[in-house]
Amino acid sequence: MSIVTEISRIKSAKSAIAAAIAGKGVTVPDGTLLDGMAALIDSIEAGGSSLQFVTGSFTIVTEPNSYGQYFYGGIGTVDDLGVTVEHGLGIIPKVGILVCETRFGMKEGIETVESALVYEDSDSYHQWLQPYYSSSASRFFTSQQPITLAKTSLTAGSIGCFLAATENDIFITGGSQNAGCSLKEGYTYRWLFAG
Amino acid sequence: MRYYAQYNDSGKLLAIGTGAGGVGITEAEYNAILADIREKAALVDKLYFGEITLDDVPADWREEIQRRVDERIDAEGAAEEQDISAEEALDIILGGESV
Repeated sequence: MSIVTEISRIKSAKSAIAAAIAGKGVTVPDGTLLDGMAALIDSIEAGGSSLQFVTGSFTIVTEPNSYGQYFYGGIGTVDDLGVTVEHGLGIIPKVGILVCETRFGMKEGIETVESALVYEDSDSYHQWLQPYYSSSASRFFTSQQPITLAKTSLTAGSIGCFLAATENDIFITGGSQNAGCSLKEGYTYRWLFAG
Repeated sequence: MRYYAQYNDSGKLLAIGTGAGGVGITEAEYNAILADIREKAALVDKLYFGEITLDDVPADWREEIQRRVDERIDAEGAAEEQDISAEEALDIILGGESV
């Protein structure tokens, strides 16, 4: 093999190494020589791909129609079934948390985390808490239905929120067949989605 | 931080929030809407517990506040039927709240 061929091969390999390093999120400065690649490789974050987190909040001004009452009881309209939050992750989130932080009818100076909704993008059990309605106790139950962020499901008599996710946003609606919407007027909800 | 308002197709305001999405609004606009929301929630609370009467509610809010109180009664029962939490009971016992 000639020297020219060898040099060409090494140049190609260097370009491939630089591209691979850049693909791992590390910038390769122009003019980096081959002996500088090792340090850049060392700076690659270990442990596989990292999750991106996005957070936000929304406060309900006009209570949406109940998802369950609309689909099962013909009550309300489809136009106002929920709120849309834009996560902008570019992929369907793998995990999400929705927290209702406002008590029904806030007492001045008191805002506590009353309920939380946790999703995982896998066939696993999930738990959700109903919005806190009375001062006696929060109601808590576990659903044993597998659920993914892209799927909506209903449990008769339950109150919760349902998420329909795309790569950029999530439509959150709530309410069962037997109750009003769980996205309550005046409530503030904080959310986190990661993917 | 970015603030937004979300409207439905008919132009009705559905929600306000922080983050991406909706129609961008200023922090001052967001805080003004939030203040209204919280004031209404406080009135619902007070009317539900009988601390005020409907006459104490601004006239243009009365229909909405009464509706929300009625919904709360449907959901929770009348205020006098409510159990109180241990914290509220202790507060009353220690004189922090009059009954």
